[in-house]
Amino acid sequence: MDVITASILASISMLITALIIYLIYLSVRSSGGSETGLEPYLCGESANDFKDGISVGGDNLFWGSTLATLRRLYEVLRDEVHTGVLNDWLTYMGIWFSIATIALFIATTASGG
Amino acid sequence: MFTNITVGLVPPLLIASAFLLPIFTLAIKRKSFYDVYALLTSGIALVITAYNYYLVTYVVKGPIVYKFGGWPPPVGIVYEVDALSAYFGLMISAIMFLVSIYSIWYLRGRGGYEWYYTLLLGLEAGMIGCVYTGDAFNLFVMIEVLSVAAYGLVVFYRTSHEAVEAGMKYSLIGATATTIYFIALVFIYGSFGTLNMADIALKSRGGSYFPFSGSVVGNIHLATAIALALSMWTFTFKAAVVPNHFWLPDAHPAAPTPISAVLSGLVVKVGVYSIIRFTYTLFGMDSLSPIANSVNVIMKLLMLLGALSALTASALMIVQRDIKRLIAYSTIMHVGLIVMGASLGTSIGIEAALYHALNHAIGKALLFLSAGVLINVAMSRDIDAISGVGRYLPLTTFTLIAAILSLEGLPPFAGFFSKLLLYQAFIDSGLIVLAMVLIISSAFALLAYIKLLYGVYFKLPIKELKKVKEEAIYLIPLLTLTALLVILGVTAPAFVSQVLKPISQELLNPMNYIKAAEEVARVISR
Repeated sequence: MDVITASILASISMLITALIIYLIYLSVRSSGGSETGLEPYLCGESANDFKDGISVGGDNLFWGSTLATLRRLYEVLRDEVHTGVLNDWLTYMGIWFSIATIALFIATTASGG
Repeated sequence: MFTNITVGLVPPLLIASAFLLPIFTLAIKRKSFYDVYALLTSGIALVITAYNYYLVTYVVKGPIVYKFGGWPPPVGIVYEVDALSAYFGLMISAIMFLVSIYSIWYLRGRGGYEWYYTLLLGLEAGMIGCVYTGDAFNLFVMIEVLSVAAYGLVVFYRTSHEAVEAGMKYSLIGATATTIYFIALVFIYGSFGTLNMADIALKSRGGSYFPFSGSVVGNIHLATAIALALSMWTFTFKAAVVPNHFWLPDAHPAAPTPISAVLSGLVVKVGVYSIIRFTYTLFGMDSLSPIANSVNVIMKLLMLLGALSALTASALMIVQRDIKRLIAYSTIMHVGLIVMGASLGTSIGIEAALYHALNHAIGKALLFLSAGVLINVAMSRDIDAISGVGRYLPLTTFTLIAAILSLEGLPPFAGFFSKLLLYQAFIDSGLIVLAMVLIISSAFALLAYIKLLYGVYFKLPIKELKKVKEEAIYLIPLLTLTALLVILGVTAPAFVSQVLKPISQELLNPMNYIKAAEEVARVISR
């Protein structure tokens, strides 16, 4: 069996499984919605003690930690490279053109062109 | 030899329709007239490009040449449609037709629809002209037609300072890019003595005789190297490959939503098409040794830039708050993947790149158009402001999710199969690093898409919205694009072998392309 046919069969079986899980979920789910995940994370303290204070939502903590991990990457990518200044853009674009020209010149002359 | 007027008909028809439209504004003010006018014109273009695809693939089984004004190549301009041109032409016209339907809804209650449609038809003419032409200079003209329309559409909202700034930057660098391509043409014409693509292809492979054409002058190897460096700079700008991508995240979000879909889904593909045409047909691995070396070097550089595009753009997707900007960065990422596949120089690499180009065009158009409906309800592009809006628009959210799943590469959507094929192509070429780039960039993109989906559907709305009724006029294109993603996915094996394989074979052996034009010239020269 080739890889694409195998993928199609896998997709169909995944779809059927997902459908069965969804039907089971429909039959057992409660009528009310859940607020879990939207409540503030307070290191195990009771939320009532802090309800008037400002705190970070549980879902935002995920993004906070993700961005903190990638902080250095974004300092370079966003603040140093993607400045929005036209002159900076042209510098990077010029570097690509220069490298291409030099590399092609060397490749051509090296092969007797 | 096979010539057919339908090959030469589409761009002139679209340009004539675009130029006629402002004249109608002197007498007719009703928006519905212009809606029908644009829909009919793009519908006719779709029928003709589909017919051309049928002719090239099933009737002639080779390229079709059309001589403008009866002048033979290389004296006059010819359109030469092979399997690659027909594939891109059909993709462009089909998506443009669906965008025209969506535009009927989008332009409701907005002014300037007559200018919008004029530019939209001009844009379509430019894109189809680029992929149909068999003349390197005419490609320059058609890139200009495309670009002028695109600049105008980016600054469609003239009162928005963001749109004006994005349009200014886009047009300034765009004009530089097309001028640089013009300089590349000077080198090509100066050394090859021709601008006809088939003639250049023949001479770059050491062939000497093409009717009505002179012999080469000076050092064509060095001239080709310079021309390749210049033209690839322009094409990577048009395709928004890093580092020539800076304009895109500003320009695409600033444009009206249907135009964002066209710019992200189709306009960048013209750059991809031009890269493929230049590195496989005009010059290739089977060209004279120094030229083949140049092609090899430029392919390696493009591979590197493709990988950089995929990684950089996917990382930047995560930190976007503007939904359209997030989708725009996703375009840079996917173009990077396509360029990586196309620069492998193998049959499976070309097939994977072309398959992903089509899936990305459909998926990206669907994502932008679905997002446009949400933006219209929330009256904002901020993902936080769109929170929960998806709950009010179940069908639109469904199509948005389908687009995201396809772009992310989940089965049974077509995006999964093209990513799988890309992965296979990288592994087959022994380039495990590129396979890792594909996986890492998809993982980064997944984080961004989760943020988008979570905000749109699972978060509570920040303000209570009135009951929103979904409309058939925009659901038709959205559901059609969704269906296409599923159909292209489940028919992947047949699609690859029946549609993509002939294109890759033709690109790896361009003699049919050369002979088709040569024969037209030879018949006239007798």
